[in-house]
Amino acid sequence: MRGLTHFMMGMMVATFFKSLMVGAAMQDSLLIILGGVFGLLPDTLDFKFLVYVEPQDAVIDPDPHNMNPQDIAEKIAAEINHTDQMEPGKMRRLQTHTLKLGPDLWQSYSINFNKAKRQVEVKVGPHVTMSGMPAFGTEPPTDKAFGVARYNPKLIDVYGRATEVKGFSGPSFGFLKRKDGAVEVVFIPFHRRSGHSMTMGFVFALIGWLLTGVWQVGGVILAGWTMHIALDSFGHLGNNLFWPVMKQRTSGLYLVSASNPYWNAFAIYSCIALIFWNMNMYNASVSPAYTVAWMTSLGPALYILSVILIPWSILGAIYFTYRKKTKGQRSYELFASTTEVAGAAEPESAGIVEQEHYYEVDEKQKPSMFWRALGIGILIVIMVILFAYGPTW
Amino acid sequence: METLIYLIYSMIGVLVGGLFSVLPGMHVLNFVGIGVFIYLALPLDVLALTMIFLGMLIGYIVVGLIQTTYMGLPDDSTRYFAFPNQKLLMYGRGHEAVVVAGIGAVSAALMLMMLAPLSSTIFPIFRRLTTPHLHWILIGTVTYLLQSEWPKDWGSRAKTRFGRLKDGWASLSAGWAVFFLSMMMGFIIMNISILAPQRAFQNLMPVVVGFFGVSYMLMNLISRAKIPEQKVGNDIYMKKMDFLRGSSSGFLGGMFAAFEPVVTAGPGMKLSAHATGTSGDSQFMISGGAGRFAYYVGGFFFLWVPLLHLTRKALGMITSLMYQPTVESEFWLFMAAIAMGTAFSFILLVFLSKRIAKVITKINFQMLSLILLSVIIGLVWGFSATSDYNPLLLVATILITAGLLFVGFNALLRLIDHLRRRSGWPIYLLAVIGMVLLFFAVETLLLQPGGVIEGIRAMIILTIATGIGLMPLTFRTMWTNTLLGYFFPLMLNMAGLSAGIVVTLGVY
Repeated sequence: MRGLTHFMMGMMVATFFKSLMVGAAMQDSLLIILGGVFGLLPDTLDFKFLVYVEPQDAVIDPDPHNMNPQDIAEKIAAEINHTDQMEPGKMRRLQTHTLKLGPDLWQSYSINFNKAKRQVEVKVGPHVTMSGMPAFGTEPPTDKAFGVARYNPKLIDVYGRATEVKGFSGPSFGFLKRKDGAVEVVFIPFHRRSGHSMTMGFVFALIGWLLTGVWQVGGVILAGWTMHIALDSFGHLGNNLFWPVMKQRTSGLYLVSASNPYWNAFAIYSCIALIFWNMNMYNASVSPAYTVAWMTSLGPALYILSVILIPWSILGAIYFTYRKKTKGQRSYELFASTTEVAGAAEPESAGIVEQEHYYEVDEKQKPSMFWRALGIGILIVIMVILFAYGPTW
Repeated sequence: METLIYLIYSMIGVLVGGLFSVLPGMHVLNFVGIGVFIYLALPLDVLALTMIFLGMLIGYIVVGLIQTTYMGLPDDSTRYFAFPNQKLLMYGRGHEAVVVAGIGAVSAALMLMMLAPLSSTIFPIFRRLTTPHLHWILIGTVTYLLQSEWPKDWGSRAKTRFGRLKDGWASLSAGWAVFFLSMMMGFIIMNISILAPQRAFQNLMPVVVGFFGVSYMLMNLISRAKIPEQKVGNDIYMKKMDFLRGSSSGFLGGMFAAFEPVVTAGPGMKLSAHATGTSGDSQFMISGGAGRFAYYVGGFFFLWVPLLHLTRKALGMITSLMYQPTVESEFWLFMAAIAMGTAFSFILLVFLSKRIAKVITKINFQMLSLILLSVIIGLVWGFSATSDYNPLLLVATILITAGLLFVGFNALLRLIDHLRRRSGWPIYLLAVIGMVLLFFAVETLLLQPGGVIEGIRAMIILTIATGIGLMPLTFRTMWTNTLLGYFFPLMLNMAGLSAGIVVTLGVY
């Protein structure tokens, strides 16, 4: 999910802690913000630290003004063949680079692993903006658009679609030699590993508790972190929940898509509504003047139903109907290919469009309905615990 | 009949505000001065004056989009979408960019209309619930914006892990440095008024102009871009979904920023863009127009909402000193003025944009940037150094300052190449210092011997703010960090945490 969604989730669970909320309202402490900070921290660790310290065994960095897709395909196929010669359990990592043409213009290309034909297929695409919008008339001629190279081993790649390399920094691939002799493609191997494990959450919570001697500090750190992991597990790409005991990512539950604006907006709105609920509940300790009588009288179940579930069900029905109607239509920016922009400034939007939503891939098989229902069940249990025990924390 | 007269006053405000907003460097606060001038010149009641204020505000918001697009002069609210607008300008579609952002503003006005009947129910609840929590909401917002900034290395090519980490953190650490430096500036300027007490309300002007105006103008001068021929048509490229997502995102962000104290339009729009997944230039432009409108008008709107009377943002606060709405009918008069004012200002925007698009290519962009740079510095000097607020003296000061600076800057540009080739940088630097001293000497003799110290102080603030404002451009980090940092001391103050820092820093 998007960064703000994670941050708001962390803040929301923090507001269930009565001592933190009342402390914040009485200007005694700002510990409540730890919920948001640790709610976002897993992605901060992955995309601001681990991405840089990941080893790079091979690098794809083509010349954007002289794209040679055949070279790229051959280099990737050579890496797969190289991995085939390695011992089981070993991995080679390949870093691809994006190709910047101007302040908001990139040369796109895509990489596909065709398992049936055992070949790597590289396709050079049009120029695109930061948001991934292609520019008309910038596609290369057919003879310079495709590259194909064969590899030898059996390849495991559940994703089954081409990976597009466009804005931001390029994705990396891990080629893992398995015990059965096949080579598995691991998409962005640094992501959702140690930085997205419950192990790290427990470690941070323990450190927080020991440093302050206040158990609520450890509690709010763990709660914020757990909500991040839980929310990510609802997507397609899973987490490595118990690193370092577990070596690989588990599958996501395929309940939501990280880049979907509806789910992000729904999650953020729900968080705000629940924060308001907690404000109303705990403001009574500060002054009854800051409470709203009708909210208190509704009770949590009716409040959630009327303020969150009913309006968002209606909005969701409208959104998904519209989406179904416009499926397959793709936005184009009507820009000519140019690299000159007045002011020579980077787009401020570069900080808004987040890279992670490019990384929502179907790496593993979709899990059974049991596991998916269990995921929702765990979230409900967490919320029930927060509602039931938050006022005593 | 009385209502109609008030609406006509708001239309006059739109016309005056719209025409003035085309001038570079004008800010909404400058309009208050013009409004007071009109008030003094004409016998008006206070409600009529507030209608003029509202009209000028709307004119500034909507017609001011011309300044951002054609002259490349963003402020905090327009910086958010200055890039896509400038990009379209360079593709010969500046007029289209202006209209798209203008449609965003109109959509925000429509959403405000829809919200109006519910406003006296909804906003008092928000106010009641959030009042004890404002400080941590604000500090949490800043924390998120700092923590969520994305590295701008675009895939480091460094061979070592440390090298890549260093590349990735170059923009992030610069962003934090911008925040920290702006925060220190905030602590100093907000606790020790650099300007004389009678000019203290202008403390913010050199800061904002330095952060956004001068730094951007300098980059425009360096980039040496040329504006291509502009196509002026009646067609625009906008998808329904882009319109819906962009306008709703901008409106939400603008209203959040308007409702919360201290938060400005830029961070508000950024948050809502994150929340709603805004993507694509069209959405950013629509969202920018909508957010700017929602922020400025929304802040004023809260003063008029029955049972709320919330004073937020500059115009709301200044107006509340003179006038407090008392009956509900005034709220609906206010809404009617918004509806008519927005429609009128949009027509004015399209009319002026078409004409400017035709002449803009005939102007040397560098020369234009130079003129704008001179005028905005002239404005800062004029407002800071003029010892009394005689409007004619103020205008004369600004014009003379801008004229002198223009000549000075122009000569400097020519000197740069010459001196660097002939004598190297030290001589060149001496020439710059000499030029600046000469400028102050002439200014002092001509106009304001009494206010020159304040003027120099304002120039020092402007220079420091420009230095900080250049950092986001050169290190590709978030510009928002400037104002977030500058206002962070206020947030700490709300949380009861600033006193200790102020004492430690010795700025009291």
